[in-house]
Amino acid sequence: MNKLTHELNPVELGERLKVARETENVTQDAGAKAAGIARTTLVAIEKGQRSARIEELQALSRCYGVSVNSLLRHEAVHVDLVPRFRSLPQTGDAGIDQAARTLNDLVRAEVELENILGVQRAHNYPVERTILPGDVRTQAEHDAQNLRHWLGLGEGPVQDLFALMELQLGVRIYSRKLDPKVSGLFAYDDAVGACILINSSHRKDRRNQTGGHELGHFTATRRLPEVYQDEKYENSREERYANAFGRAFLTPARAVMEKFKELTTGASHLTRRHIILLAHYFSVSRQAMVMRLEELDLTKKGTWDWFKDNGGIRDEQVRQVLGPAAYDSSVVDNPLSSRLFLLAIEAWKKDLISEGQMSEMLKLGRAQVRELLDEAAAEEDEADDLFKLPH
Amino acid sequence: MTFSSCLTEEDSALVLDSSVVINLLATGRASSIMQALSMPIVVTDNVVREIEQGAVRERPEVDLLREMIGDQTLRVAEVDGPALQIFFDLVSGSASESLGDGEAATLAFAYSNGCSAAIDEKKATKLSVDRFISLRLVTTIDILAHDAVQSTLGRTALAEAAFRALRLARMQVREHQFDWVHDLIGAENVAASTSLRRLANRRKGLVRGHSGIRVLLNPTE
Repeated sequence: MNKLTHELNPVELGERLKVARETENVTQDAGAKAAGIARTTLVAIEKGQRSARIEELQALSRCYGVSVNSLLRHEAVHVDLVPRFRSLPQTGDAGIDQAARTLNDLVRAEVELENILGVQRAHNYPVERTILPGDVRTQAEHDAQNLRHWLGLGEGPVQDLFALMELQLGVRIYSRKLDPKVSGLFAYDDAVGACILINSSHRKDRRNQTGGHELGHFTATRRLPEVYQDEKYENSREERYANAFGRAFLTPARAVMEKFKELTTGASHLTRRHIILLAHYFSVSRQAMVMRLEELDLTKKGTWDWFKDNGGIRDEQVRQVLGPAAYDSSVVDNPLSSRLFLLAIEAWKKDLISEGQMSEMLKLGRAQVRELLDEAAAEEDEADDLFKLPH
Repeated sequence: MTFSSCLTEEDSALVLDSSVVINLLATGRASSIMQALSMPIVVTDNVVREIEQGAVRERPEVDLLREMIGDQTLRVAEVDGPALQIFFDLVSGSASESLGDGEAATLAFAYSNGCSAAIDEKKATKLSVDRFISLRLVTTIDILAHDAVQSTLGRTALAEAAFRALRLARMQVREHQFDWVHDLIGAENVAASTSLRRLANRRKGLVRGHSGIRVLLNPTE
């Protein structure tokens, strides 16, 4: 009684159930118990050897915290990034596990929306580097410089690192509020490509630093998932490479030297004003800027410690130097994952997904979903026939 | 054109979808509104779960929902029996022909139990009209415009409740409901509400003969 009538292949459904269970970190025993079946029956369901009954599927979906619709929708894809993060040394941290799930959910939503709309994610990845024996900092400087050239960036500051990674490289980038200690996550999967999640509650300069770091992982250690906690000291070669890569990419040596010379000409001392202007120009934190100056021998080692011991460089001082408008824009900027939102809005407009499906896919409350749809509709109302796209 | 609520004596019990619950919770008068209706009001457990899961920024609303379940203003129902099969048919298939769990559970439960469904979601409404001809559908505005709700709350409180739902939950208003809402909350509040302002502009455009006006879905008319 109550066999499923939908057409989803039992093997596919079994695989989806297994991924959902592993993502939620539920054992086969616990899953089977929740569904009122023997563990061997759940094993058979996951292998596609036995069809799941309606009641079983409903109980399992509740136990795994997913909707029945997301298990049965034809276009749904089941990305299994979460178990890979669990293999990292930080295993067991609730904040990191939650962040990994968020990344997994957002990637899954974007890929499914691509399937629904029949579009493909184009990407343009540079060749993967390997970290060779020897000084990782030198390698990172070299690789960052090469990537800059490959992207045609020259020596100037990067205007918008995340737009560059999303639009020029085709990396999937998302931004959500995460546990404060998590700066960002990086994962790579052959089917979905490179994915990065950034903590949106961090300041813009800190997010940039995270982005630069993750770009380093993307360049040299693409196959390893990574959780970046910028306040935690990590001494592995991979982490030192990624940190050095981020610094070199965001603050290229030659450009820093030139700008430094330009700003300090005629000055007798390095002042807070110099640091504030340089950090603003390169969109990095004051600390990252001073450390880079130290690294490039443009100031003495220990300069940042001196500033720290003497009152630091405060936000109020930055506001005075940059002016309120420039200061505010340096702290806040637009939310990321614009492509994911665009796809979801398009699918909703075409009645391909409902508000409930959109809310579940984007992991947003109803009011936030409606806010997105309202904004999109308002923009559409403004658009004249002149702006109609030719496809 | 005079708008009157689609919610009548023919509706013996009402099953609320998340798209409506969110609006009612935002009114700040959800309990009074539901009690005024004097009919059994049901939410499926799928809808309760959806609201709880999407509640990062809507925490007070979840507490209110739990309170109303606790004092039996609302009854939570589990979808089972014949409704469960309908639910599975509605959540299966391609994305374009399936619904989220809450929407599917609302329609399946209402249809199987001879209730009316309160749903604002456009795709679910369309799908319901295609598949369940006999199922009566109403919207949040139909609930607010019900005679008993109007007389219980009084005009000022009702206007405030409607404006809160528009502002906080971005409640959707259909074209044929616009004048009623406009009269209730006033031109100033219409202008302050993003979705209504758009509808108002579109209507002005329609009067001027502007091209490109889309007719909003209105299956209950």
